[in-house]
Amino acid sequence: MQRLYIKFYLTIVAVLIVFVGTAALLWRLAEEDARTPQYLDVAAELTGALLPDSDAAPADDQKAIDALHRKLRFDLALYRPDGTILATAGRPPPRFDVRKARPGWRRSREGPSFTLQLPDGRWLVARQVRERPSLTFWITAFLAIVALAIAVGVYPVIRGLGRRIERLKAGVEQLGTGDLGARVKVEGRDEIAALAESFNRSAERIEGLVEAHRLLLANCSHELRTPLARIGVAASLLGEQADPKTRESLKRDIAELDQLIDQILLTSRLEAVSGLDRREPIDLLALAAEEAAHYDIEADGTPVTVEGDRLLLRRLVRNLLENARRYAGDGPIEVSVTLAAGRAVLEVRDRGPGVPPDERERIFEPFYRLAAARESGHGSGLGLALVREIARRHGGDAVCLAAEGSGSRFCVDLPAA
Amino acid sequence: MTSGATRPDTGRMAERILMIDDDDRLAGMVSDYLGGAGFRLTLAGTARDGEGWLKRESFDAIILDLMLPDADGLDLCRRLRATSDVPILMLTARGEPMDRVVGLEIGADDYLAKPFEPRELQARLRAILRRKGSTAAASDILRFGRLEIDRGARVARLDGEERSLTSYQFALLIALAERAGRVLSRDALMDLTKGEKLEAFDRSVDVHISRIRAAIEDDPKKPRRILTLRGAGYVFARDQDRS
Repeated sequence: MQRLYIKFYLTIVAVLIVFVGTAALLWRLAEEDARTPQYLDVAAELTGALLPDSDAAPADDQKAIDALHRKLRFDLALYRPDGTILATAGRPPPRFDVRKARPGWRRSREGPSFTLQLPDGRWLVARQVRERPSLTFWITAFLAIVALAIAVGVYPVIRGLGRRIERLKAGVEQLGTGDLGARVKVEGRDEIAALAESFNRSAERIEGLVEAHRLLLANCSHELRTPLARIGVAASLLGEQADPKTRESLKRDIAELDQLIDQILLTSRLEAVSGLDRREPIDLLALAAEEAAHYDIEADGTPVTVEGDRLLLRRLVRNLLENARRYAGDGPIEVSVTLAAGRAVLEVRDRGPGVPPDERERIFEPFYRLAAARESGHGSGLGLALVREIARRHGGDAVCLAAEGSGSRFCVDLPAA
Repeated sequence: MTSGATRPDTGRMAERILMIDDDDRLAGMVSDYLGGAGFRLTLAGTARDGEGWLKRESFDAIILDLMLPDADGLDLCRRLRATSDVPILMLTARGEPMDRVVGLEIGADDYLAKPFEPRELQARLRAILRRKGSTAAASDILRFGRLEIDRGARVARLDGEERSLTSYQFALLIALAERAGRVLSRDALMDLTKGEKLEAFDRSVDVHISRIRAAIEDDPKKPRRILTLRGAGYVFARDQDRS
């Protein structure tokens, strides 16, 4: 991931470098102009005129050169026409090659030098005594130091800004993963602080809404189950006085209502959270057998362990069985669990009217019901939607397949542990 | 309000139960039902009312609803537990799995979700009353709805009534119940009960299983507790007594 603060920082550093570079270049160009040393030309001409004749003694030459060196603050070297040295003053002269020598100004690493051929054929090489570091150098150095100071000083500021944005991002991500208690620290009074504040406000609101929703559901559950509990106890109190058939059917209705409340609550709870609340190893065959027993069905197959939420998986199996019983009536229902290629496969088959091929996908939609079911008024239309939701949450899926002969065949595959 | 009556055929004293629930119609019916079973119920509609009763009189057990008009049942339970060790059975309509854990962690002795079978309420009430009297560690007792398996006393009870089992059958039952929710093959069951003396001649596990079923199932032909899995073995149901 590209980090914002690094981008900011690199931009600032680049701007500083360009600024210092440009300033140094401009200064140097200006200085070059200013330094055009006409006075050096004059000085050299005069020097040539002031030197003793070529037939003078070398000591005179040396004297004259020394005097000039002191007065003009130039390093000087005097050569015979053949290139051998006559006299020097100041720093040792640069290498002199008479064949390449040309009169005039020359730039060299030791600084600018002026070469002059005297009318008698001798050569004079003059260099400025000591080239002090130029103004360009000092200005460049000064700007570079200022730029460095800015770069160093700006880093913590930029880094701090980056950190704040990163903390904000972490908070938003935490909220996104379902931790509704996530809040970020509000630092300072700038736009980022304002953003943090409005994030906190939004998070507060979301948390409040979710909590209100949860409370509403819990209260709903309580309010609905309270009369249900009364009816249940009343039905039991009827005892032997009541017709056993009536009593049984009453009990079944109570159970159905109870289940329906459960399904609605579960559906909305699953909407609110992602993933699973808990995971434990579960013997799927045992669980299927247990649920099947309530419908007087014997499950068969092989024991397969899956990782999951026991309550949810129980709900899955129960809904499939409930569905089969609803459509197949008292016809046979088969329940099996098998292991195939690392997947636990739960199958529930019935001998009812079956599901038309073009409706095999739609029946998993919430509140979708087959035409036959809509007429009879049975079922909430939530059962199979929950089956699929639970299966997917466990890393599997639920499908309705074509059954051999009549009836329907539901398959749930889950990753085996 | 106090209601209920001692059953004339039982010689023991009626156990006094305080029921704190704002649904007075339900409480009235429960009171009638449990009164017929030999309990004496006192009903309180609010937490304050209930605490008032507890100050004045002593009770053998408390039935406490989770949602009260003036207090949260969990808070009340915690408060009661701080001052007394009277057995508490929580009633709730929430049905969220967490509630169960929370209810027991804060000191409730048992928990029942609404709507419930009065028969199960009675069985659980009897169980917590018995536990109070006995010294048996709670960890020795396995509970599956109305069925209670006391490993310490080597007794199985359904609705509080002892069911007779031979010692081998009891060992078999424990082997199954301790692994509730898992399929056990016949061989595994033989292994798990190897130490037990087989008093019978040469009876297969299946025969013993059907004897156990006869003792603990409501309808041995339609077993709900010990289930057969063709070709795989047996499984002891974890979630029993569902309507």
